[in-house]
Amino acid sequence: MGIGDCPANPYILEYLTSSKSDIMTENDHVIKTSGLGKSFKQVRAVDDLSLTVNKGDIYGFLGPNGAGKTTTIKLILDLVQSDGGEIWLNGINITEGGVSVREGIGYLPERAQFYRNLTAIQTLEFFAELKGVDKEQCDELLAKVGMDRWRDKKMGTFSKGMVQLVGVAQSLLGNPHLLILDEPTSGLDPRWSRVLKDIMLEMNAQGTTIFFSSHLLSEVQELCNRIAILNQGKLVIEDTVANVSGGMTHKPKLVIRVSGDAGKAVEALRAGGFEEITVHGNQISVPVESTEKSKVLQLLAEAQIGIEDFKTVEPSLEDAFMGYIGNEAVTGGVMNEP
Amino acid sequence: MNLEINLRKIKAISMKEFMDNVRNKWVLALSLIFLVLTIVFSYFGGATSGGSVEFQGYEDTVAALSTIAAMLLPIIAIMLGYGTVISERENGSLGVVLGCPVSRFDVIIGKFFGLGAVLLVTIFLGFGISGVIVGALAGFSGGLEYFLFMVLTFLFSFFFLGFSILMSTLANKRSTAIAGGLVIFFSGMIAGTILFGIWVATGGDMGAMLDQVMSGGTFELPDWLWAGYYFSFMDIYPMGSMEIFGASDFMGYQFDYPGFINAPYIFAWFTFLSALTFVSSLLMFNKKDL
Repeated sequence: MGIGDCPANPYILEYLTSSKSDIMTENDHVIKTSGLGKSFKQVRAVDDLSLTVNKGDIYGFLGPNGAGKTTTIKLILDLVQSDGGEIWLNGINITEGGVSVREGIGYLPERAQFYRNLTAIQTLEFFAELKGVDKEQCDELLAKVGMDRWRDKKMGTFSKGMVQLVGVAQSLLGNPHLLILDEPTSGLDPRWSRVLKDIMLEMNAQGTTIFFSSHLLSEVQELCNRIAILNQGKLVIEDTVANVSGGMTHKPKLVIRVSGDAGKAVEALRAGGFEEITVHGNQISVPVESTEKSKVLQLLAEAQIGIEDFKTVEPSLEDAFMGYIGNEAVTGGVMNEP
Repeated sequence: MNLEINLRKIKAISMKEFMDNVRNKWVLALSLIFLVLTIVFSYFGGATSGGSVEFQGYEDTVAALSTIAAMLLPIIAIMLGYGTVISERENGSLGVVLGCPVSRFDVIIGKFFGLGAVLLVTIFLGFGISGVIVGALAGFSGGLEYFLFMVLTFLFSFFFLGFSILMSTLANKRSTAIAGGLVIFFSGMIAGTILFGIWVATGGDMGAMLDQVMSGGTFELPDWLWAGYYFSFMDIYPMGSMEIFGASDFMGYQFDYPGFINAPYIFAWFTFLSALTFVSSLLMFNKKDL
């Protein structure tokens, strides 16, 4: 199944097939920015950024390091002040709405450390007080993220992942209608990363809109129904995952395992007009249009090359991402960063 | 400018700040330091000025104590305040706080109240308990003045706390914040020397002054010099402390103060300075990118 064909989880399927995906109104825009800009000294961190997060979205915010993702999140939460453009949360301009526009929002910054001398439970109770929500849910939330055993241990004694989990619990206080998460799985081992993704899906199924930044394409691909790609402060594209993947120039690849000489197979295909062929052992990959697949197989058959197996690999979001932001980001280590 | 404040959230932030300092034993440690200082200076202070080793009354205790308190309290206040905003900015927790429906005013007011309460409690516990001990052993005469000395001590240290919070608000690094605090500390230490230097450079006769005051007489210094001492914080605080007792001590000698050097003015001065740091912190933090 190609990524463009279907979202990867049942909650998104439910959302897409429900009435929530019908025509959006202004009130359905949980986050909306228009012409947003921010400079730090000589650096234009965010430039003319207009994006829209709809009610019920799991919205992935992608971009290489330094693309402006964290600055955008801070602008949305009024933690940094924009030097141009406007931001609306639930239809209310944040410059006019005061602090109440942040009610019902759960926020987890990247690499938050919290207060080293507070215990996990004291940390949650402090934030429950600030959010004006019932402190009784703190224990339940610690259990939800698997930190209930360490409720009375000081945050200063926790590993990075454990701090992150308490941060996740903090963001869930008050059952928020909007979760804004900056690299939420950063620092989590695969098990807790899975738990967090399940929590995100569960919250979304209950109606919570989720806006999160990530550089992990697999994560975005798995969770999101809509994404935006940011590069050098500018919005490159904002659309559904399917449209972003489908809108790229990469062709699907026909991957064939041959029984004979792979070199001979390559020669046969090149003679047939296929140039961009890659070889790994006895496996060859050929970018093809869907109408060209049978031609490739026919060329190999005519050259009397045995075919052990073959499959079509649809272009991934990763291919799309690379196509949109160019190879510069790869050399910067974006794709390899844990 | 967002002027929203919420008392419940201010209370939560100030309680956290205060309890942090209870948990890390700063409240206990500072109270003990102030208690021991007072007892030591009350008991031994007389000996260093030619008197006997015994508990002095409140006035003599304050005379000996206020000079060392003028050095110690600013350092303590700067240590309390310099990291309060910048540390939380650096570790990301301030972003989480302000991601909640909490205004920037709530945060700054909460920090001033919480850390101010640390100073208030430790000063009144440390100096208060020792004051009762001194009173029980040397008499309670001057008790009200001693209480006012504690109030002035709080205002004096609160100004340094406010300044360090302002530095913490303005700085982008912890090292810059503490450097800012140390600048006001050292400027307070050297201001008096600079003032005297200007007086001597403009014709003042230091020798005549010392001859006069050491022989038990009084000496008149120009008004501008006394006015300048309002900016020599480590001098004006002990002067104010003694003024409470009606003594016009300066550098251990008697001087004729002009009318504007008096305890109520000095109380008002430190109140004004504290308010200035408070308002400045509010305004600066309101515009700060986190």
